[in-house]
Amino acid sequence: MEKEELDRLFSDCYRDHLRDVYSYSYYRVGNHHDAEDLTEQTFLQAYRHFERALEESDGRPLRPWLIRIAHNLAANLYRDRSRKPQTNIDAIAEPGAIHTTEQLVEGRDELRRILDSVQELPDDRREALIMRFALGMNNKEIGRALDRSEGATKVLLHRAIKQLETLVGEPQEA
Amino acid sequence: MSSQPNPIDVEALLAQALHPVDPPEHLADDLEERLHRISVLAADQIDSWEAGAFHDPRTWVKPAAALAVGTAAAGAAAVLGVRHRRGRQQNLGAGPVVFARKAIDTIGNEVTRRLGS
Repeated sequence: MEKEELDRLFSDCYRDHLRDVYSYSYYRVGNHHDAEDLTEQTFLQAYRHFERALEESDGRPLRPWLIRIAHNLAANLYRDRSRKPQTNIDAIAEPGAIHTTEQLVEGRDELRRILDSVQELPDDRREALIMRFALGMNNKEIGRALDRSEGATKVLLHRAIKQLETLVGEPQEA
Repeated sequence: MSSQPNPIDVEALLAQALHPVDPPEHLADDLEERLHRISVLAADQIDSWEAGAFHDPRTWVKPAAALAVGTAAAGAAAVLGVRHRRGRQQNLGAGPVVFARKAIDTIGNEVTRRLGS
């Protein structure tokens, strides 16, 4: 492929998926500063391997590949720092997530409960939920990002939802 | 009469709670600038490599890593349309420097590991 065409495709890829990569990074690391670093490192890595990824994708969307890069980089980040995200995911849930004042009042407790519960899930289940609900990825895309089959991803999401239902349904400590 | 509580619609709550997050507006500009600075830093790393060390393969790792990172960063920056603004300050902030060194170290470690295996 011509360099000019390759560069144009990378530029399109960057423009199309910056929000996705940033959203994933933000929910994964829990703060803007690290999310920006992670997003930048993701696109740097992506550029280095872009031509091969294009060939191997065989026309399929590149979003799962980008999210997988971010996923691996985030894992390295935590391994280096030997810690979990600095900020809990509930700190990310601003009222802007809800669309009306009524919903804000009625849903605040439930949302906090659900986000607390999401934090208690195993990593793979939590990540699959972020990809599904924050990025709108389908099972096939999530499977590619997490290196699982579509069927295994469906089971993973089903179990994540079931576990959440149990966690949310449990009586809260006073 | 059933006394069962209404089930909580977890999926609806998740859809509300886990919304997409817009990147800060400055991120695109920052990324272009950082990529450019990485390429400059990588070039410095290569420049500082002493020619006398050429015969010792163990000293190749850092320059090779710098070359890989620098080339990629320069290419990506060019693609994303980085443009040097006239009169822009040339001093590097701590963030970009740390980021660039981290990138070079990562590649360097990878090369070292592969050479060692």
